[in-house]
Amino acid sequence: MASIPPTPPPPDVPLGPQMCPHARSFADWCDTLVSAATAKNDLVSLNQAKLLLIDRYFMWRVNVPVRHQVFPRPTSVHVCIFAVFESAYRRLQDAILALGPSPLVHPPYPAPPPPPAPMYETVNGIVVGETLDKDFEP
Amino acid sequence: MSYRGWSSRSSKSGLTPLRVIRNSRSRPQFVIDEADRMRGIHVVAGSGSGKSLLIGGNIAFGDFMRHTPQVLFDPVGSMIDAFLMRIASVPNPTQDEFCSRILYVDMSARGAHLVPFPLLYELGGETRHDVAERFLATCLAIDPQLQSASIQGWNALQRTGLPVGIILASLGLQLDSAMDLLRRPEAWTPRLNEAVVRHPDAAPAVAFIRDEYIPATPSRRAELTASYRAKVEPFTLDPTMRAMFCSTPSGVDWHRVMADRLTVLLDFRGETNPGKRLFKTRAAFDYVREFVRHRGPGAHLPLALHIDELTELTNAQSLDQSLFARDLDYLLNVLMRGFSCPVTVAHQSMHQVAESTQRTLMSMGTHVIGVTTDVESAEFLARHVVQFDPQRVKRWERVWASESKPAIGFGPAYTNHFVIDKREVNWPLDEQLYVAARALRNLRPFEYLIKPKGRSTLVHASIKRHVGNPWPTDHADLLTDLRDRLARQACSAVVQIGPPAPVPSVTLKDSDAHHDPRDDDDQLDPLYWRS
Repeated sequence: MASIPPTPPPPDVPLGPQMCPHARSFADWCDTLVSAATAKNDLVSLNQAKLLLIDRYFMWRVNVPVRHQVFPRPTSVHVCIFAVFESAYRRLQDAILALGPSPLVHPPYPAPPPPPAPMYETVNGIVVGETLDKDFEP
Repeated sequence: MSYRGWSSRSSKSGLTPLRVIRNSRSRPQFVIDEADRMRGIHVVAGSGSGKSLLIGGNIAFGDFMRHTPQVLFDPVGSMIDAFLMRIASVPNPTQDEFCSRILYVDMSARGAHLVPFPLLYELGGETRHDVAERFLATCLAIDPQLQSASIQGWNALQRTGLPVGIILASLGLQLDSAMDLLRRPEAWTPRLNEAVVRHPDAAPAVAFIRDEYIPATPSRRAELTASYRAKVEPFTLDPTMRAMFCSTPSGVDWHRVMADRLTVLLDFRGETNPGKRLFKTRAAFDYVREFVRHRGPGAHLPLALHIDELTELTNAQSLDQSLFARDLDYLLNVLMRGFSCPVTVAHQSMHQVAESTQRTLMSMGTHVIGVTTDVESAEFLARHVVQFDPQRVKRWERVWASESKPAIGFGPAYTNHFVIDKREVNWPLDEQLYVAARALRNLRPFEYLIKPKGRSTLVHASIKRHVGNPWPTDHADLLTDLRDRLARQACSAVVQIGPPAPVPSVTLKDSDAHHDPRDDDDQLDPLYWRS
């Protein structure tokens, strides 16, 4: 599975100087996130990064002007935050797929830690009871 | 064998050390060590204080886990139930192994299974006289008035009982044949000869029967044997008593008990007849005592003896007699300490026993005192186990001084009072005694004040977490089933109760010398108990 080449980015997404200021700011954040996750290159980190990316995208979306909120397709003069989100999402997804297929079942739970071993004391005699007060004075 | 932390490694004494759980949440356990066990444990606590649970569930079960051979005397059954509850709580594979180390004896002999306790028994090396004397000593112990009756008392009992017992012991017979010997002594002539051939030391006894008893008139015979007949008649008339005390071999084989480290449970709860109960209790007690005495002094493997309700071992008449006190003193001060027989004794109140017995009991090593409602008993115990301090400070009093001041100017003269010192007020010994006795009476059930040997202070301990789960009273059916199972296990043959067999006439042959009739199946008594 590791030999599957990553999906090439869509040719019609020129992420460059056409980005609006909101998209550029978001792209900086996405680059940092994707770089850190792909550097670790483990399934949990990549999935966490993907989840964080989705959350952050929608948070970004409600804070940009309305015309940037609904800008589905990039054009030659305006690449907006959705295109940046889609690009970052694709890079993370490629990295996840490169690790192998997603598991279809829950991983086994880790074995519970063994209970602490009781402490024994060896006595040469008869246990009568629990001591409540070893120096009882009426 | 290991169960819940009870280990199986043997100590130098041959007993298994116990492993008790100790963690930060549990309180420290109070342990009576092996050396102190040899000084005895005296438990005195009122009814409902949990003393049977303490002995059966903790002390006896602890001895069991240490692989100590032991005997439990229980006139009321609660101590044995507490012990068996611990056994019943064990998972099954281990429970089977535990049950194989228990010999349960239902002393009422009411069920289908019966464990024989022959009254004429040999432990090895003793004379016929010793064998015959044991039964008479048991009779004296339960009826001390015999000593004061000069004509038909102890002297008359010995005069007839010893020769008859010696002859029966020489022939390998039991006391159920005694009445036949006394009724038809002429028919016994061949067997008398056989007794002398087998055991020459029986000759004086045979001479008494032949030369004094047979020539005597019927009235003289009746006079000679009246006391003895009264003692042996129950073994002829009562089939249960005959089956139990006249069957051989003994169901409690001491050599097996010691070798296999068995726990012998002597359960007297089913015996409701006071006379039989007293005799059975005393006979069984003497049986154990004779074995310990027969082993002799020395560092043997200990045989622990636990006695619940001590006062059941004697009757009301002999409570005030010195005989019981002497027996107890011999048990506690001679057998226990020198013959490796640690004893645990329990009773309800100090005033159940006579003054001499009180002194003997208070000489034991460890005293375990539970709640009691008896004020006098509490004061007695407090006086003996609490160390009073005459210098104990009750309170501090201020010492005042005064100074007269003269009148100054127009003011009046006055006196100034002030404290110059403090003085201690000691606690009167009577008050200390009262407070200590009140502490004993205010103990909760399952809580005890323990006075260990060699310590001046008391230890306050509780057994509730040890024995409270599960309660024996909540599982009466389970315990009944377990007792039945153990009773079946103790007897491999059911004793048939029937009429006594006539004494077979034998022809003495040379080859019959030193011949044991128990080896011949055709000469076996129908009551004969075979293992």
